[in-house]
Amino acid sequence: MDLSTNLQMLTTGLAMGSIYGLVALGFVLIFNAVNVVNFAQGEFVMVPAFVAVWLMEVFHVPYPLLYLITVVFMGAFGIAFQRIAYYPLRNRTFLPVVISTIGVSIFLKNGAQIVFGAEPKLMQRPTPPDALNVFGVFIDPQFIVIILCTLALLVFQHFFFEKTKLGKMMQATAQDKEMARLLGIRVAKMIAITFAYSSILGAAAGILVGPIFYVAKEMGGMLGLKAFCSTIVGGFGNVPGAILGGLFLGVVEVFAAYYISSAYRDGFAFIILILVLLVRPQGFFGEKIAEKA
Amino acid sequence: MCMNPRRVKPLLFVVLALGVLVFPKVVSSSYWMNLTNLAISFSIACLGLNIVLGYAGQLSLAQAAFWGVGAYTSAILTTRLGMPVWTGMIAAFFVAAFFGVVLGIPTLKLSGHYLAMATIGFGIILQLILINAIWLTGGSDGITKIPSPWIGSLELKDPNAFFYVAAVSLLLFTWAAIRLKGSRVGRAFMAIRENEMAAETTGVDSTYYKIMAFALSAGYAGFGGWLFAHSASHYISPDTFSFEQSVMLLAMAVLGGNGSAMGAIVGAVLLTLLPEVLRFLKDSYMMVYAAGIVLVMIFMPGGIASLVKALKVSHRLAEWWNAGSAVTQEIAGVASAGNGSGPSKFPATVADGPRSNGALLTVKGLAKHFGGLRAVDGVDMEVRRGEIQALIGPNGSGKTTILNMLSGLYVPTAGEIVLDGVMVTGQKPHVITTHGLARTFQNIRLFGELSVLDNVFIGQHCHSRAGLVPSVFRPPSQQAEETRMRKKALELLKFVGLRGKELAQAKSLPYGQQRLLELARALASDPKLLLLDEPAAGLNANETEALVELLFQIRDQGVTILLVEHDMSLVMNVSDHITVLNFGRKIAEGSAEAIEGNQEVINAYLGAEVGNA
Repeated sequence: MDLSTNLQMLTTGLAMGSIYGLVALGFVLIFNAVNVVNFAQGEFVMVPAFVAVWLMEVFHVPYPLLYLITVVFMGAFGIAFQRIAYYPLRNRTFLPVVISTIGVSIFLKNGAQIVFGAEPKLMQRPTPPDALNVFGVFIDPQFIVIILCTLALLVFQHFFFEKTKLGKMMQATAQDKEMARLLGIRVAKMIAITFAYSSILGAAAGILVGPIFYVAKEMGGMLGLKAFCSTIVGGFGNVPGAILGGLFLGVVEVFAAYYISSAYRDGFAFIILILVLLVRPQGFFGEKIAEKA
Repeated sequence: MCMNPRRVKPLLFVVLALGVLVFPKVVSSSYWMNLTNLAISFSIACLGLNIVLGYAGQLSLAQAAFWGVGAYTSAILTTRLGMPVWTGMIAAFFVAAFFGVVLGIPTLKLSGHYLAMATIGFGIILQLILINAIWLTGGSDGITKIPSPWIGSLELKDPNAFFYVAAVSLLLFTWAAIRLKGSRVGRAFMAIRENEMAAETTGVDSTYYKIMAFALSAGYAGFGGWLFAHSASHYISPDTFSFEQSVMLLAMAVLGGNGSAMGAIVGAVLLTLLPEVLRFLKDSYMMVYAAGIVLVMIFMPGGIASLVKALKVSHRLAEWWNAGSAVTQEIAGVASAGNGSGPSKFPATVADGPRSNGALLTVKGLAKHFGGLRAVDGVDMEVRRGEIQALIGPNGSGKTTILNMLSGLYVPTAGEIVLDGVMVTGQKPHVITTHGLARTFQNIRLFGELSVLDNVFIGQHCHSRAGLVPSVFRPPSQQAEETRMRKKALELLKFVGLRGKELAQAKSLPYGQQRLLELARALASDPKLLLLDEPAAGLNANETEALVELLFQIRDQGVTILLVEHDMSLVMNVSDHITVLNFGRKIAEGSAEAIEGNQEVINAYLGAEVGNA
């Protein structure tokens, strides 16, 4: 196996891993804020992809405006989502919330089919279709865009959470709701914003991955599950862990599909998940949490 | 309603049997009969899900995968190897149960979201195998021409005929599930659901029972899969056994009412028939279905079962049904015996009055470090047989950490613990319980949804034996064991003063009584050493006084007590011996008088004066 093929696969893996990482990040932020695993996270990717295709096909909206509209739409979508699927159940155990988010996920998948049709759609690429030749390694420019956009988002997020007041209030809410409330932070609002932000991360993932895959109602399902695997592999609730877990799974998947079996491509993430759960249940970067007696 | 429920039971059976016989004649259309058979297949899978989720509280999103394992096992055996369909039936159950164990062993250490994810992963991997292992499963094309079962020379091909097989199976599986719920195994499942940590310290091996619940649930699903494979289209393919189908089964179980066997069936039947009723919605059916799931979660948290339970009629029906039962009669019997002049003796079978004055518990160099924090840092102590010993110290001095190590919840960083000559350092909590240690918790950990009586039943788990099969079929040995446990539980409840509350829900008790119940549950395991973590916290003066009286009585019957307590007057009053901790180290020990005058102890509590230190 020559080096350039391996490098090519590495780029593909990192690009896919970035997408997993973005969706995983959305999982983690919601989980940290409200202790809920959102099983509709994959639909946070599918919905904006459809919206973007629709804006493109029907209104011929130019790219920058298209992205802006999609992001704003998904922000509102995230807020509406938490109002329906989470807020009424906020004082209950995790099972009802899990089932309710699964319910919303089924609703959205079938809703997308009715609104946008059953046929998978092709999202026009913003990048040239020809692979770039980087020192003999052929790389799809969309992959480079994905990796760079993810990096940019991470830098933005770092500054947002560490340097802005809103970011710090959101962190405070995630760490201790009671205390945050006592300090005058509007906890419900912070939670709504967290959902909005998580949904916007999905929008970024959807717009970025849309041109590579067909846009279809099933596109979010497997993506969401693999992103969830990433969060566990990286260390549940751990922000850098989610990204690194995503990158790791993305890369392993591409190489395992090539060297072991492409038919089982979608299974590797879960095999790694089960192995990690066996050997190191707290994930690569997670801390062991013990229940207090 | 004055009829005796004992006499109604056989009548009920006759009615059910007649219903089953007549049903196909009434329905007659083979379309609807196929649908009924499908609903039964789902019902059995849901009953299984109800065992793992409803009883044991473990979320599984792989039920459709186990359903598929059963269907494929039997289909492969009957079409490829030409085995009889009945062999396939047995194989379907056991192969699926085996897969349940295989998935259970690595994953059941996990809980909640992790477990959900691991089960999803298992389902996806299994589906990939079904699609890709073409030599075995036929790949995406699936398996066709799956045979029907035969009885003698009669082929049960017609859905009306197959219905009898399905209906009898459903009745048997429902019966077993209901039986299980009221047995030792079922109680262990529910204890894990209610509070896993308390279940462990009460003597329930939670890993073992979780795997058992998982295997059983998978077996149920596998049997449901067998029914599916050999009926209707006689064809199976991988896409039937998807993650979405697992979600559907979960929705059925939760819609019906989590924890209720009848609820699981009602949920399964409703959601199987719903597409027929909502057919006019065409494409938007799935949307309506999904919206329905969310609405049920929001507005009907307990599912249909809880709605039925809320009805007055069902309440009266339950009362009447229980009126003649052994439990109610025995409660009445215990209540009338002895006219309640103060607490009586409790039935201790291990301890037999104070014996030698040697050490029951010896702790040497015990330490627990959390990262850099040395919560307990090299403590030596002894608890003498037949005494009440107190462990005191300021907040954060490591008292509860020591109790957690003694009861096996924490593994010590260093040191050893010897209980009555047995080295128990680092053993699992349920093992330590069988060696004669029981405990209560600072923040009460009862099995809240269960009855007061059941809580004490579970306390006796380590001294009872009935496994899965006896729990369902109830041979005389199992019945005798239940009677013995019930008698002891009732006496213990009487001892702590909870008479008349036997059938109340544990969480409905007032705070003080919850503490007493936790004490009764701990005593039920016949401990040699009883650990009490702040037993008087939150009690009023009267309740505290009653507690003191109980502690003396417990000690006088030979149970050694080690207690952590902040109420100093109580400590000074009851303790034969006191150990004082500060910052994870022992700073003093001795009699109450000696401790009261100890300058170092006073410093620890009140802070040393600068010049004095």
